[in-house]
Formats: sequence, C-alpha cells, structure tokens
Amino acid sequence: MSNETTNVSPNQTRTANEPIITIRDTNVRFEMDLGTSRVLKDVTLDIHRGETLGVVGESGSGKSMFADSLLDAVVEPGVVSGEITYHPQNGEPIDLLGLQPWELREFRWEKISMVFQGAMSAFNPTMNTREHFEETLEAHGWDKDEGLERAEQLFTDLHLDPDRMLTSFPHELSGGQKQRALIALSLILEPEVLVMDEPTAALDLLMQRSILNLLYDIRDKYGLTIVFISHDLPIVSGFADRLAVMYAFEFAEIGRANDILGNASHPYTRALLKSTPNLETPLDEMRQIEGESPDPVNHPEGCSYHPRCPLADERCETEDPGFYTVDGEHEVRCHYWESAAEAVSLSFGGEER
Amino acid sequence: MSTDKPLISISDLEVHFEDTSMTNAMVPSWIGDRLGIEADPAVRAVDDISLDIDENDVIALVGESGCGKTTLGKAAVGLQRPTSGSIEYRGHDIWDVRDGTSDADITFEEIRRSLQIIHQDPAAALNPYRSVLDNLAAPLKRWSPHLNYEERRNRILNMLKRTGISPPEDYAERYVHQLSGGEQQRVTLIRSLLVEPDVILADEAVSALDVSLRIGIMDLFLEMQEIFDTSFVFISHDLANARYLAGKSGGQIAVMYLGEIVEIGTADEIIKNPQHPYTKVLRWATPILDPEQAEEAMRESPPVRKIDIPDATNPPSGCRFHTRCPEAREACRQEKPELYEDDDHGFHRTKCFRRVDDHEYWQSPGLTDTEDAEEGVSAVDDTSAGASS
Repeated sequence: MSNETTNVSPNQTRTANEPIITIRDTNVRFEMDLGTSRVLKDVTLDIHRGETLGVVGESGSGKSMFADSLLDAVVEPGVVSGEITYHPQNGEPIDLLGLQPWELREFRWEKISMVFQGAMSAFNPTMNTREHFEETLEAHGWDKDEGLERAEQLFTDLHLDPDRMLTSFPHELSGGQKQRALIALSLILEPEVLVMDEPTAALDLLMQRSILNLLYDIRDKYGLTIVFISHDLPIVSGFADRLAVMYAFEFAEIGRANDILGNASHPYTRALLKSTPNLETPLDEMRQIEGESPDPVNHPEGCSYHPRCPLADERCETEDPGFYTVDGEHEVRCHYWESAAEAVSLSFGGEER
Repeated sequence: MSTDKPLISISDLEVHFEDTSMTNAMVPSWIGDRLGIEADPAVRAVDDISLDIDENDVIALVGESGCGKTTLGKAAVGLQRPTSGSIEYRGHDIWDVRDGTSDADITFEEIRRSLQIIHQDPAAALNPYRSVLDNLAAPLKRWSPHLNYEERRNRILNMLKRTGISPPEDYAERYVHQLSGGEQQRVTLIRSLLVEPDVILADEAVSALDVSLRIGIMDLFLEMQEIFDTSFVFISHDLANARYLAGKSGGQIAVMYLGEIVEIGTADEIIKNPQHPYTKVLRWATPILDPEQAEEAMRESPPVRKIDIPDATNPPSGCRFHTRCPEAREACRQEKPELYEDDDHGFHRTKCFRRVDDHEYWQSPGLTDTEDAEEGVSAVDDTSAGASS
C-alpha cells in the first residue's frame, strides 16, 4: 500500500527508545484460602514510544494480568504493587497506580486504551455503531461532531465503509468488521498507547492477518504505541518491533523481534517455537513442550522453568536467574542461555536457529 | 462387506439450507406472493463434491468461516442429510439405510457408531455434572452392554493412561471443570474412540487450544490412528495444523471455498506447490516464523481483491472465487472450472483454468472491480484490500 504517511520506514520516524511507560518491580497478588497467588512477578520493563511490543505466552502465563496492570484494571481482590509510570509527550510523568478513580477514568481510553478479545460481546446489541461512538465521546466530554468525523476517517483507514458502519447494529456486522469497528472505537479519543489483548484470536487466519496488516499501516499515522498480547508467536512475527516472552508470570526473554525469533536464547522460547505448527519447520522437528506450566500458588524455587528444562541442574533449582544480556537489547533469564541452542535444536526458513 | 470399496464414498454431494424463518414457514406461498414476502434464497453450503475416505486415511478440510467445511464433514459422518447426491458407508447409502429403503444388512445405529465426531469446545461437549469416568462410561454402556462395572472402569483407565493422562485413577474421579483444555480434548477423543469407530470427524478440535498444545493433541490423533486404524476428517481454518496432521500421516488436504473443493492433494503438494489462487491466499494468511520473511509479508497486501467473503446465498457465477481472485479474467465469470488433474508429483487436483494450458482463459480480458459492482456481488462488500493504493 502506498499511503504517503506509511511509506517511511517506521524506524526512521521514531525517537530511539524514549520510554512512554516504565514498569518497575511490578507484582500482582491475589490472597486466597490456599495461599497467596502471584500472577505477575517482579516485572521491570520499558515500553518505548512508537514501538509495537508483542507479549507472548501460554494461557495462564500472566500476560492478561500484565495488560490489565497497564491500565490499573486488575480485578478485585487482586493487588498491584510496584511502580508503573506513564510519560506523556508533554508534561509531567504520571504515577499510574496512584491515580484516583476519577483521574483513572480520564486516563483510560484518552491516554491508554484497550481492545479485548471478545469483539462480539464488546458492543451493546441494542445500539448502532454511531451511538457507541457518541456515548464514548460524551462520557469523556469530547466534541461529538469532531469525534464522528474522526471516526469516519478511522473507518476508511481500516477499509470499512463509514456510512454503512455508523448506521449498522452489531448483529449486521461480520466478526472481522466488528473487530475493526472496535479498534476504531478504541482510537476515537486519540490515545497514545493501544493495548490489545488477543484481539484477533477468534477470527479466521485471513482476517487476522489482514487486520494486522491494516494496523501495521496505520500505527505511524496515529502515532501509536501498541502492546499486542497473544498466545500465538508467529502471528506477531513481522508485526512487533520487540517481543517479550512470558513464562509463569514473569518475562523469560525480551528483545528485538528478529533476535527472539532468529536467535531464541531461552530454552522455553525455543521449545515454544518448536511446538508451534507452521509451514516451515520440517514435520519431524515439531514437538510439544513436555510437562505443565506451574501453578501461581506453588511457584517452583529457583528458575520457574527448571522442572521442564532439559538444561536444568542444581543451580537452576535454587538460584533464580536474573536477566543476562545476549546482545544489545536482547536479554534472557537463564543461567545457561549459551547452551540453549544446542539443547533445543530449531530450524525454519531453511536455517538452523 | 467388501474391502475394495472405500470406507466412505461421497458422490455429487449438495447440501442447501432453506429459509426456515417464521414468516416463510407460516405464510402460504400464494399469500406471500401477494404481500410481496419472498423467502430468502437457500444457502448452498456444499455444492457438487465427490470425495472418498479410505480406511486409515486422513483428510484435512481447510477454508474460511462459512466455506462449508463443517457441513461437508457432518454430511460425511451421516449427521447431515444431503439435498442431493449420496454418501455411502462401505457401499451402503447411509440415508437409504436410515429410511429403511435399503436391503443392506447393517443398521443406521451401527453406521452412526462407526462415524464419530469431536467438537471444537470440549467443555461444552462433556457433561459437567458427571465425573470423567461417568462421561466415558456412557458410550460403553450403550455399545458394550456385556461389560460389567469393573471391566468398563479398567478399559477407561487404560485409555486415560494411553492418552497421557496420569494418574488415571485420580483423573477418572474429576469433573470437567477440573481439567485443562488439553485434557478435556483428550477425554472427548477417548470418548469417541471407546466405541471403536471407523472415522472420527475432528471439527476444529485443536483451534481452541493454546498454540503450544496443538502438536500434542495432533500427535495423539496420529498415535491413536496407528493403534486403532481410525480415519480422521480433520477440519481447520489453519493451514499449519492441516499440514502437520495430513503431512505426518500421508493424508490429503482439501481446500474449500464457498461450498466447493477448489484444490485437493497430498499435504506436500498443497503446501509446497499450491496452484489455486485461493490456496495461495490461505498460505499468505499463515504466519511465518522467519523474521525477515515475516516482515516482508507484513508489508504486502493480501493477494485478494477483497478481504470479506461473498454471500453464500448468492454465490458468484462461474468460478466462485472470481470476485476476489487477483488472477480472474472474463472467462472465470462466465464458465465454471472443473477439478483438473495434475499428478506429476503426487495426487493433486485444482479447480482453476490456469491449470489448462490451452484454455480460452488465457485469451480472455482481465476483470475490473466495477463490473462486479454492477452485478451486485460486491455491493455489500466494504473491504477492498489494496484497492486504495
């Protein structure tokens, strides 16, 4: 697509690694009868302005908790601790966890907005699309006419017919159209950050890829920082600038997408890639990951992946690995990352990885 | 029973769904005509499909939502009565047996037992008020009434162990909500295997599972196939899953579009040598692991003229893919292609004129999207991928 604004390589238009959200030692805990359940563990991470960060992990790895904590939207009785700071383009940094409820209301959607998986249930079936947009604009005290104009532009950018969309009720739209309408709705208050939690999981592959393609094209036009959460590693390949792999409620490996996919250095990341059906890996090399993910109440001592890891030894059972630097921005939480490639072989695209 | 016959033989199958809305059902047609009430046209879910399923076979049906893959699958296992055409089980027409108009020495119940189905959502397919043991005992009670409690229990525990659920004694007492998604799907697989079926229809059976669990479940399918010689009809919208299951078992992949099979062949041929433009679209939609190739693909527009699928009540004339096909020409709009044979590298059929070297397609002028709009085919279609550039 030769849209003028998107023709420039994304990397040229972005300031290098200026943080928009900084997350420090963030934990999410649930107090339960069985004990304390830690569903997010000591997460420290910078999200850069203008980047697309892919967060990948299996069900129950804590990736949705990560998304929820970015909006301070973790459900009761969950408790978020640590420090999450939002750095607006102009103005003072905002301590997200210290916001009052009315401040949060303003913050959500206008600064950081979120698209959930269930596009089907996000809309009120008795309201047409225009009413949904008007409701949102009104609730946040924005000008309706200007807002609807922006909505029409968004629809056009997402390859939807604005006139038809605004008058349609949810049941008149296909799943892919609804999901795109939801993306448009989430962008109507011009947020800087868009958090997407499995936004395309319920859709056909073709629609998933097409929506990602559209997002890829519009993210620079709207100056968006995207946090894209998925259980499907290949779907974010090519879309995300950086990838963060979650395992057992913490990040196991973080780096440029090219490094994570081309030079995966955590045994878990490698096992995850090996267990993902795709069209490139020789059939005989695909394997499921042995064992099960740990329980949030009974966390293993040491490295949380050690019960399933082929490299694990006594050190891994007792000593929790911090982040080791592989190369530049590429960091991995494994004592023996240098041996990971040997222990878990991996090949796709005609190369050993 | 003769052994040279295919297990399931589908010929010239058509399944159409009529308008069953209240007005249509209650108002006689002569009143409807006067009032100007028209019945919605029938949805042609499956059109003109012939397909054989052999013993120990794997056929993966691939396509977008609404392409008819589930309807075809259900028809193949005798769960959907065809509008026309026939489905034979070991040489006996299933619906003749059902209607009692067949002289076969087999009952409809026996056929139904031999043809099982696994659904997408295992939690909904199992009874939440019963333990795993009770869930699994139900089909045994029905089909192996001679077994006593102890024998039934042993057989179930044995199957749990074989499918990697351990300790089986513990799991047998659990309820459905106490199992993970992968474990639930294993239980539904056991349930269908317990009655020793010939064919299992797995309808998106791995799609709801985490990506990392899919290989494990598909490996289990393959292992069970080896032990029990069961054939699988595997439905998926994901070419990567189809490639794994059909590729590992030496099976076939059939690509469906708007009720028709547009390309069918060995897994290797379909993945490595796709011929139909639609198969190439599905291939484009399948994410690539290789980071450089993936980024390149992200910059490419989808190789279709429109993202959204046309209405199945009014499928396009000629080749049904012509409204979205990047290669479409005038000939595609007027004439219907057949499944052309090209077995140079293994079994392969493609429903596209481009497979015929001397077809008039090559002389025919290209299509423009405005012509489609005049026909009303794309009038409701809002998405024209890449058309804005």
